[in-house]
Amino acid sequence: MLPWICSQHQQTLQGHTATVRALAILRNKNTIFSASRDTTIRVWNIAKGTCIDVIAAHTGTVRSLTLSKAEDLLVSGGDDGTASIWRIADNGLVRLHILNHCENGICHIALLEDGRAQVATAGFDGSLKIWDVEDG
Amino acid sequence: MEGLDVLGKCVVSQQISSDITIDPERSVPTVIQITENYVIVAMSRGGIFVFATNGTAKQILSSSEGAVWALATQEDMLVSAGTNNTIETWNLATALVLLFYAASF
Repeated sequence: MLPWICSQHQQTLQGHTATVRALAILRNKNTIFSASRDTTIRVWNIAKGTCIDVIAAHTGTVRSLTLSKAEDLLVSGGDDGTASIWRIADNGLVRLHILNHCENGICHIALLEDGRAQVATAGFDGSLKIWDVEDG
Repeated sequence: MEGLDVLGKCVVSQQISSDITIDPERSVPTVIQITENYVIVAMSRGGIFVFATNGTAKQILSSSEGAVWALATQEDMLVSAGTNNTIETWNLATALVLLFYAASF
């Protein structure tokens, strides 16, 4: 006897023109952020199943996304070696800072919120950098 | 990590997939997402394996073809995406956990 989880497929969102590499969902379960090899970040309204913003975020694959606990900030990192800090607005994203990590690309990012907010970026060159969110 | 005295204890250990018809060729895990209720593993040849946190309950979500590269969860909501350029949304409702009797098949 095996218990099974019974999941339902709900919807398919189409719009990206290349592989989708990272996702983030807001707690209200109404908004999704997606990052793609097409170099954009898309903002989706789940209730309506529509894309509400397409942002030319990086010049290469957008590889990593992370949300702040307060859900006021989104951080993206990509193959262009930069990370961007975005303010989450009602109708999309507003870029606050660009962090230049390295030329080899950023493979992963994390947001540290223990005390003052910091972003950690990990590069394909094997380096790790930590940035203050306040002044970029 | 000198000075640390932590002994990690493995509480669940099992194969992600034993069904060879699902993974006819080598498929490796690409993403793991852990929530209060689920452990979700996505694979490089598609397929998303959902387990209860004790490892027993299991479901295979098969979206479209290609590698799954990204997962995100919010309570019972799962979002997956990958090389087919689309984003799929799923409801992992725990209320719908069914008892599956092997004898009935």
